[in-house]
Amino acid sequence: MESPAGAGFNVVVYNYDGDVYASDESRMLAEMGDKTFKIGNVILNSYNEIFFGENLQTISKFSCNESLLGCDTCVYQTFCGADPIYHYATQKDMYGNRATSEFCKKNYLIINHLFKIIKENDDDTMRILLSWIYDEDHENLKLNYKKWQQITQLD
Amino acid sequence: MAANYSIRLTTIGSVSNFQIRKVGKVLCDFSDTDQITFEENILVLKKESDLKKFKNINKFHAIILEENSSLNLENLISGFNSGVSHLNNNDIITIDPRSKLVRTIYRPQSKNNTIFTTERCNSNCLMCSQPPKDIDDSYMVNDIVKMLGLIDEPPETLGITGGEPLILKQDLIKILKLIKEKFPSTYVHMLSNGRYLAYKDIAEEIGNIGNKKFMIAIPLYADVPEVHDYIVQAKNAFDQTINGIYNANKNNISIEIRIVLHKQSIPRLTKLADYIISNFPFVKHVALMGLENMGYVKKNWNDLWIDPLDYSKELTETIKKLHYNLFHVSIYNLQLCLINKDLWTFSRQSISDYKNIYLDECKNCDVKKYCSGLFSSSILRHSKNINAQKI
Repeated sequence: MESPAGAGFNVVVYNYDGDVYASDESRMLAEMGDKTFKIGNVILNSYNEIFFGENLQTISKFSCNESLLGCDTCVYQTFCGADPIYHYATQKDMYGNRATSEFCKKNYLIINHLFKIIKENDDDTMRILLSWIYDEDHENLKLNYKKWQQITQLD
Repeated sequence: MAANYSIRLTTIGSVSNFQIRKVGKVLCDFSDTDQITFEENILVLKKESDLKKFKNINKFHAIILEENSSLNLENLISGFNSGVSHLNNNDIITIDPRSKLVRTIYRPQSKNNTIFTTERCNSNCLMCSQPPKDIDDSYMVNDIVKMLGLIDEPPETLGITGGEPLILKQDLIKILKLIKEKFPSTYVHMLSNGRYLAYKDIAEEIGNIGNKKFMIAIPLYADVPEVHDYIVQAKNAFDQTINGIYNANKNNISIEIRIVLHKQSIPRLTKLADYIISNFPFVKHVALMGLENMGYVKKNWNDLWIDPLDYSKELTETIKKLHYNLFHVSIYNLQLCLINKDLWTFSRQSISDYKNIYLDECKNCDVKKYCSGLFSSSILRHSKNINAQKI
C-alpha cells in the first residue's frame, strides 16, 4: 500500500500473449473482458510507449492520495495509499468515492487501531509489535532482573 | 571515610640535569639486566647507592632517583618527595624537564590505556571532566608516536581522548594509521564531539584508513539544537555533530553515541532516544553515563546534579525504547543500587581502574562484584541513596 500506488510503477505483469498490465488485478479484469489497465504489448509497443503511454498516464492521475477527495484531508494520508484499479473494479471509477470505498473503510480502521495501540503504549503490546518488525523473539526483548540473575548465576 | 584505591599516574621531582623532554620505558625490575635497551629505558631507583649495580649508567635514556642526589649525571632527575613506587616495569612515562613532572602514559598491565591527544577543544561542555586549555601542546603528538613505538604487546583495547582529538587533524590521522599498522588486532575507541567530521575530507581520510576495529564515541545530549548547544556551550555544535555522525557512517566509521545524564539532559532524554531510533539506526552502541565529579562538574554541581533515583523513570523508558529497537545499550558509572533492577543487565563496570572506588557501605553489598562502583572524585559528593544490596 503506497502513494503513488504501485500499479505500473513498482509492479508490472507480463501476460503469456505479450500484453503488459499494471498489476495482477489489472490482468484479472482483462480475463473478465475489460482491458482498461492494459498498458501495452511487448511485441507491438516500444518501452517508452508502454511505460510513458496514455494508459499508464491516465492510471497515474488517480494514483496519488494527496489529490483524491476524502484522502486529501485525511489524517492518515501519509500512512495510507491509493488504488485506482480497486476503485475502478468496485465503483467503475478510478478516482473512487471515499464515502463508500471499502479500501478506505478497511485501511482507516487498521491504521486507526495501530495508532490507538501506539498511543496506549502498553509495554507488552509495543514490545510484541516491535518484535514483529524486527523479527525477534519478544521474550528476548523483555527487560528483566531474571536475565541478570542468570548471567551472574545469582538466582 | 572509605578507602581510596585509585592508582597514581604522576609524580614530581626536584632536580633534573637535562633540558629535553623524554619518553621512555620504566626499568625497575633488574632480574634480567641483559634485556636493557639503553636508548628506550628509564631506570627507576630509590637509593643513590643502587646505582652501583649498573654499568654504563650514562647510556640510559633517563634515570629517576627517588631520594635527593647531588650526583652530576646528564640524564638524572631526582628528589621525588611523593615517591616513585607507583611506577612498574615497562610502564611508559614522559618526563618534562622544566616542570619535573613524570607522567605515566601507558601501563601494559592495564586494560584502560588511553592516549591523551590534546588539551584543546572546540566545545566547552558544562560537565566537562577535563576542561579544555587553549595552549600549544602539539609536542604531545611526538610523545604519542614515541609511546606507540615502545609498546611491546598489542593491547586488547586502546582509547583516544582529549580535549578534542580531531583538532589535531593530520597529526591524528598519522596516529590512527600508526595504530592500525602496529596493532591490527586492537580495538581502538576514540572520544570526540564529532564536529570536525562535518568536514567531508576529514571523515573520508579517517574512513580510508579502513580500521574495522576503530570506533568513535560521539556525545549527543538532546534531540534539539537549543539544548545540545547550551550543554556543550557552542553554537551550531548540534548541526555539526549530526552532520559528522552521518559523514562518519558514510565512510564506514563505527559510531557510538554517548549521553551524559544530568539535570540539563534528563528532560529531553526519552525524546533523544526517539531521535536516535529514527535517525541513526546504524549506531553500534548507545552509552548512558553518570556524572564524574571532576573539572567543570565541581563548579556547576547545582546545575547538573540530579540523583539517579530521581530520573529512574526516564532512564528505564529510554533504555526500553532503544533496546526494543535492537540498539546495543549500556549504562556507565551508575551504581546498581540506584538503578531499576530490570536495567542491571545494561550496567557495565565502566570506570577506569586508576580512579575506581567503592564506599564503606559497599563492603556489605552482595552485588559489589558486578557494580561499576564510583569515581574516586565522587567520594565526597555522591547519591545519598547508595545502599548495600541483598540478594
